[in-house]
Formats: sequence, structure tokens, C-alpha cells
Amino acid sequence: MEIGQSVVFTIPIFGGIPVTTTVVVTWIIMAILTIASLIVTRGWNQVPTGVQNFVETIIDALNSFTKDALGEYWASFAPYLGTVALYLILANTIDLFGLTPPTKDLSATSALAIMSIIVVIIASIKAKGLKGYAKSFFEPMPFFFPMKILDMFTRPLSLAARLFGNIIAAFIIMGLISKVVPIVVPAILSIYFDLFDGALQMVVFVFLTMLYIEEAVE
Amino acid sequence: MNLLAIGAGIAAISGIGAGIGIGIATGKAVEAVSRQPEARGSVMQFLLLGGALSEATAIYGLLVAFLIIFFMKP
Amino acid sequence: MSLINPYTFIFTIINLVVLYLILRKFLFKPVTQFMEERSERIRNSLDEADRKVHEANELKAQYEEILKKADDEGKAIIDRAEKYAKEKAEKIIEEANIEAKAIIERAKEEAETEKIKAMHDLRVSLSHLIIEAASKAIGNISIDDDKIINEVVKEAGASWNK
Repeated sequence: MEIGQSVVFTIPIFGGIPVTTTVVVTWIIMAILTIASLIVTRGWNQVPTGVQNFVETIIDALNSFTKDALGEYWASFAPYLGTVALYLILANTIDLFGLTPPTKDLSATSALAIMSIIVVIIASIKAKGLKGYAKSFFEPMPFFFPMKILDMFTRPLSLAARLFGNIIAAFIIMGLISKVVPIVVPAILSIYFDLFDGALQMVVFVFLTMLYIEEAVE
Repeated sequence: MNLLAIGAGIAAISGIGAGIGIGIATGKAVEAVSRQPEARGSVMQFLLLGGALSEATAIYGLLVAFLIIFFMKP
Repeated sequence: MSLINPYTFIFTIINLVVLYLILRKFLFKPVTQFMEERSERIRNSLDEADRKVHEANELKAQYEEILKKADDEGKAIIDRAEKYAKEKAEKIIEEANIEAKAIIERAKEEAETEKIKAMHDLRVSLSHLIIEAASKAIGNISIDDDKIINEVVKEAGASWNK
């Protein structure tokens, strides 16, 4: 069992850029989401039916969720949170289709976590201005400055490690179980470890990102 | 290698703390919801946040166990 | 072997930014806009329906008022006509009464004159008879003097009248 990702092929520029399975699976997910969003938004009616109803429900839930938490800034961050949510739900459960989940790679989860922290910083600057953002490091008192700096590092670390740890733990446990009992039992347990845990980790990641943004814009 | 495996096992013990913590948090959340069913939504939010934060310790233990197994090979 | 592959890290960030841009353009923006437009339209049509109901109520009140006015006017016209007719009828009856009285009066007068005339005639013929009888009794003297006749008649009339 390897913790790293295997290299699928190498782009022959700059002395060879290795492309891992994580990146390839991410591309597959991107293709699926792009095609799905193109198909799903075609030929909409004023009265929703079928697929349109489903999509509207999901996006309405996302919009009202961000509206409740972020107030007037919801429109800027709802698409980002929605993108992360859609990407993560597919990435976490793609193990069901026999592909390696990208979130099993610490490189991908740390990229997600760093992006979330960048979005939080952008939100803070947007809400308070550059000066207000700099000042927020010294609030409520200057004594807190080192803690806030530490927070900047522990937040992405815990986001990335949580997602990575949960998914790889599920992956390893599923691998062990299918070595012990190869039939029936893995199928039942994968409902919990792949579907439920994947969806739960997606919710936790998006929720924590939104919580950080909410804290930043207040 | 045996010592490394034992070290990894000890690191995984951190899961006990996370389990107890999440159990206490969930119990309190159930208490809060049964006392005030209309506050279900916000209680769920705090439960999710607390669960995620207390789970972090178990995840760190898991990470340490992985690091020991895969990066301290003799 | 390292835990984080820097190439994968950079690739994932680029992939996510591209995915964010694609999904924002093709999914989140159009759907949100679509739903907002629809709710705006529904709100507008509800407002319009409200306004129309209000208008209809106003019109109804107006028409009711007009109807009531017309009704009142009709009643007033009928009242007036009735009053006029009554007056006219009374007038006609009064006139008729007056005329009838006049006719009766005239008839009475005529009857009186007839009576007087008849009496006069009777007196004259009576006096002639008396004179004839008297002349027969006295002899064949004819009295043609009207003066005497008139005197006699007057006396006779006076006694008659008593």
C-alpha cells in the first residue's frame, strides 16, 4: 500500500512534469461537472420539472445557506462554496466507480485548504479593507497577534489533514476489509465509508470554510 | 520494524480522545435539542463544528501513524 | 518520496480555479439569475392581480352609486308625475263641480222664469175668461179697454198672490 500517488504520464517540458492519478481523476471530475452543468441547464421552463427541479432545489439550498451565514456578501462566495461542494462530493465518492479519490492525496487536499484560506483572506479584505484586515490581527488586543498568525497556519493544516485523513482512513479500511472478506461485506460497508463519510466530509469542509468566511466578513 | 509498528499503534490511540469528545458533544447536543426543539438548526451547526474540531486530534494521530509507517522505514 | 507532490498541488489549484470559473459561468450564475427573475415575475404578477382587484372593487362601488342615483331619480320622477296627475285630477273635478253647479243654477233659473211666465199666461187667460164671463153676465158690452183689464188683472193677481 502506498500513501503517494502513482504517476500516470509525464509532460515533456521543463524537464518533465509528472501527472499523477489525482490530477487525471480531477480532470475527469471536471469534465463530468462541465458536461452535466451544460446538459442540466438546457431548455429550462418557467414551471420546473424533473431534473430542473432537482438542480433548482440544490442551488436554492446553497444560496439560502450562504445568505443566512454571509448576509450581503453571499453572492460573491456562493459559487466558490458550491464548486468546492460539487467537486468534493464527487471526489470523495468516486471510489465507488473504481477510481482513486483525489482527496486521498494530501497534495490535493492541501491545495483545497490553501485556496479556502486565500478566499477567507479575500473576503476579509473585501469587507474591512486592507487596513481593517491588518488591524484585525491585533484585535481584541495586541497580545493576540501571535495566536492569529498561528491560526493562519493551523486552519489550512487542519482542513487539509482532516479531509485527507478521513478519506484515506476509509480507503485503507475498505482495502483491509476487502482483503479479509472479498464479497458482500465490502459492498455494505462502502455505503458508510464511501458514501456517508464522503458526503459528511464534504459538508464539514464547506461548512468550516463558510464559517471562516463568516468570521472574516463580520 | 516491530518498534515502528508499535509506535504507529500508540499514535492511533489518540482516536480514544476524539471518540469520547464527539460522544460528549453529541450527547449534549441531543439534550439541547430535546430541551429546545426549535433551536435544532443552530445546535446542529455547533455540533458539526465541535465534531470536526475534536475529530482533528484523531486525524493528527492517524497522520502521525502514517508518517511513522511510511517515512521511518529503516 | 514526499507526502506532498508540488506539481499535483499546483495542478489541483489550477484545476479548481478553472472548475470554479466554468461552473460559475454555466451553472450558478444562470440558475440563480433564472430563479431570481422568476420570483420577480411572480411578485409582479401578484402585485398586478392585487391592483386589478382593487380597481374592480372601486368600479363596482362606482357603478352601485350610479345605479342608486338612477333609482332615486326614477322614484323622484314618478313621485312628481303622481303629484301632477293628482293635482290635475283635482282641478278637473273642481271645474266639473263648478260647471255642474252653474248648469243646475241655470236650470233652476230657467225653471223659475218658465214658472213666472206660465203664471203670467195663466193670469192673462184667466182674466180674459173672467172678463168674458163678466161681460156675458152684464150684457153685450165689450170691454176692450186694456186699462181696465190690466187693473183687474193686477187686483186679481194681487189677491192670487196672497
